[in-house]
Amino acid sequence: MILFGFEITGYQIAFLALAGVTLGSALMVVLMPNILRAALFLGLTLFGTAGLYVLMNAPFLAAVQVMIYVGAITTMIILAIFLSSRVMSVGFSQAIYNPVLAFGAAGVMFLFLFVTIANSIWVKRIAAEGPTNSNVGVHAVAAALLQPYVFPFELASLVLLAVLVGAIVIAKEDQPGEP
Amino acid sequence: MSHSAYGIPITWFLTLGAMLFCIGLFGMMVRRSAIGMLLSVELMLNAANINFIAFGSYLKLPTIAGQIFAIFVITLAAAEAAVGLAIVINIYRLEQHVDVDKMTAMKL
Amino acid sequence: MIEHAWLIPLLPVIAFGLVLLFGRKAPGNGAYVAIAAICASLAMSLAVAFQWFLGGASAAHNGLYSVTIQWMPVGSQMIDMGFSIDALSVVMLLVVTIVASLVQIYSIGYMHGDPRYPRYFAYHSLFAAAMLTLVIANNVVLMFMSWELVGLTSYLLIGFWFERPSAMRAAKKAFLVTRVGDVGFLAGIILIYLKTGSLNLFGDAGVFENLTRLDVIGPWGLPLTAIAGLLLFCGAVGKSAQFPLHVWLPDAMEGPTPVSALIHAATMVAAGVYLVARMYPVYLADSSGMALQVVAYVGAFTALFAATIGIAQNDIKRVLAYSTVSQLGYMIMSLGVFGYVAGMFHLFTHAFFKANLFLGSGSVIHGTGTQDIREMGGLKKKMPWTYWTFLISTLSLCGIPFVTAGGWSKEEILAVAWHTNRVVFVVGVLGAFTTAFYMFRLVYKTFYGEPRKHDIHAHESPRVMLVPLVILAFLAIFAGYVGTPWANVFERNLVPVLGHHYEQVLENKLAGMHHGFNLTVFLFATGSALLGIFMATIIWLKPVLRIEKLEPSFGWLAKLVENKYYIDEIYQATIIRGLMAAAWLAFAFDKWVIDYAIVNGVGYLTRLASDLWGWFDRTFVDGLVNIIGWITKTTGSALRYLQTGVAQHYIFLLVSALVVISLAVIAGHIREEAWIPIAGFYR
Repeated sequence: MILFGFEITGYQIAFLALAGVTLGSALMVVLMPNILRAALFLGLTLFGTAGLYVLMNAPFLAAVQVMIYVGAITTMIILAIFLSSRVMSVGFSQAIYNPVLAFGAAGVMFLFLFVTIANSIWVKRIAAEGPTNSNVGVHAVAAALLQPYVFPFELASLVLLAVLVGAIVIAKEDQPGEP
Repeated sequence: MSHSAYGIPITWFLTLGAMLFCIGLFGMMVRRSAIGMLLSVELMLNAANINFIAFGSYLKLPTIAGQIFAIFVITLAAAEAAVGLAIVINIYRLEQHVDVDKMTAMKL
Repeated sequence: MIEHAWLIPLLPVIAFGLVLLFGRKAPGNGAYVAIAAICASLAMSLAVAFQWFLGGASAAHNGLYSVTIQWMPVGSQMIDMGFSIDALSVVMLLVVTIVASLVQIYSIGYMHGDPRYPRYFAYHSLFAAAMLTLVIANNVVLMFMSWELVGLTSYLLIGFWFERPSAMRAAKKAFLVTRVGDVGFLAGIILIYLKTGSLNLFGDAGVFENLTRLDVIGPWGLPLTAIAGLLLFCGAVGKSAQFPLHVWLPDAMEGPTPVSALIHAATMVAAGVYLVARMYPVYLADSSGMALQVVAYVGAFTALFAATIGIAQNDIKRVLAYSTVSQLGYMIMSLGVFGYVAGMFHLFTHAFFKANLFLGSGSVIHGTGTQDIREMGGLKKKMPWTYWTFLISTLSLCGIPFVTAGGWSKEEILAVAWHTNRVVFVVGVLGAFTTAFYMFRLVYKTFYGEPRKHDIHAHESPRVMLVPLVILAFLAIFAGYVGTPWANVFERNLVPVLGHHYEQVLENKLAGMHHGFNLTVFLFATGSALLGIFMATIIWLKPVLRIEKLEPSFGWLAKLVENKYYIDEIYQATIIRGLMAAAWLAFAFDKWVIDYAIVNGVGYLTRLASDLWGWFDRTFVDGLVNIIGWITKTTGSALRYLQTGVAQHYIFLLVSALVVISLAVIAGHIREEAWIPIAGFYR
């Protein structure tokens, strides 16, 4: 398929579309004065990212991304925003802090990263034109989690337990008479 | 360099990740509210995830490590969000705002 | 029972610990615990004695039962400890346990109400333990240890009423004076050990079997046996208060009277005699006979010398103390003239009647509250029990024949002296006369006549004090019947203790002696005693002979005797002054040479050096430290303005720093040509 003089594949079109969605909504996330809308745009960003995962032959990760990030974390953030409701009604200048300096710093950082990526030679172990692992499904993930990565897996569960308790303790309202 | 069916070099994904990361970084610096900063952190974590999965998928030797790492990152992102939001709610309860630039108790 | 004889000293040790720790809570304030222990020891001693003498154990064990265990390794040598039972040990066990138990029972009454009552009984238990260990020890090290322990308990008990400065001084004096003798004892042990290579007394490798190794000529042309014997005798002189180390014993009367009875009359002071008797083979092995000669003359001199002092003393306990010194002189003298059996026999009988005399005097003191016989008088009616027991023991001490124990033993001593050394015999007879004289002076002044001081309301002592008196009076009469000239059970059992070889030596020395009743000696002994009693009677009871009339011609003598021949003063002027002068010289040397010249000089130099070093430290080392601190502080106060407290600033700084560092690191690695085909990678 030729588009504007370039030969282009369907995958490339899909990538460009998903990248556009992701980056655009990501910019909305950081620039929206209304924090609730920013959170909703975060959900969109994460959806875009999930699409990119599919494009990289990682469908299971895409499903996890949608379920946990979009379904749980974004919901939790929106809930927190509702709980601290007053922060929603502010203007742009109150929401954004010193944007010029920040843009400079982030831009330099991106330039640095971009130059590094562009000037590296990725041919040695990396396939040039697309993902190589075509058959990475739930089975492979499960086997990896429970065999070579079982210790980090269990450790993660322990971390989650600690977080559960810690979050409750932190967020709980102090009752009078309690230490 | 022959064109595959995909026709997407890894540098595309890496550049996308870098962009997403820098947007998150920018958000970290400009957002006054703590919740906004948390959103930016999520963006940066996603950028890192994209890199992990890209490398895992593009390696000539098939490997699952990238995806596994991404799963752990998601797990820890959830944990971070939970604790961070708990702190935010606590701060809001104490000060009626969540503006980080006003929280200067640690200033010398 | 004999196998378990080691329990005899162990029980009082346990009692000592218990009474010392729990005395106030124990029954009878600890007294019953101590008495139970000593009575158990007494019962065991009696059992041992019956088994040994009557049960045939002596024959079964061939006259000696000895057990040894390893005690402590010293270098490559092993020092042993152990106990031995033979006739000598059994006799001493009986004496010590009988007197100790009676004295402790008596003490219940005498020490009643004393603030340190439990401690008194604890000390008594410790003394009993040490004394019993001493008499059954078969090893010179163990002997020396218990020897020093009895010295320690003696010190503690003399100074029991340490609030009185005189008691304190007397305790110190007793300890130090006996220590002079102990040095000789220790030297003797070392000499014996060096030559025989053994510290055990018995056995094939023991001291007694190897005495021939000591039979070489040493310094002053004396055989080493004589030297060893004399060194051991030094210990005996100190402990048994022989001249010239007798001075501590009269002062030791500052202790409670039962203590005087047990330690300073019956048992501990007799330890010196026991030591000589136990080591008798050493003296018999002495081919020159020098050691025993010295023993005999020292003993004889002390016997008479102390008796004369006794005449002029007015303190009831001091009279008895000099009497004890005199009687110990008798025993030593007897050992010196080969009267091995006689000396031990006198020790045996003397323990009972002298303990009784002391306890009687304690009863008198308890009843009247004074110790001065010039303030007493007429106590015969008020204290009949005390009087009669005191009289019986006095007669025993005077050596009234046939009816008293002392009669038999004293006569035996004189019989041996008659055979071997007439000079000693004469001194002994004079001593017997003097003894009778001063003892009846004491009895008359105390119990007869009219009370000389009327504010004294004398009363008889409680029964707990009288029972021991009666038992001891009984023993003062009947204890002598084991050693009558016709059936001398004592001799028959005691002589084999020396071992076959030395038994023969002793028999050769006494060859030709008339065994059995010796009429000449009997007449001398009885006559001198009766004469002494008679003289005392005509002077103090029926004053036919007015002592005041003798005053002009004998005044100087009386004064000399009353002041104990100025022995203490002579010691003060010579030995103590000399020691003080030597100490002063040493002190001066210390002060001027060592302190000023050496110590202070070194100190001054050290200080100078450290001053220099301190200056260096302060200027350079501290300066460096301060400069580093100043730099840190200045930098910190400059950088603190970065600490704004705004999180966004921190992130900005973080990103900037990351960019700068990354650029700096990677700049070197980027190849020049790689910058060109960017478009190629993105196509």
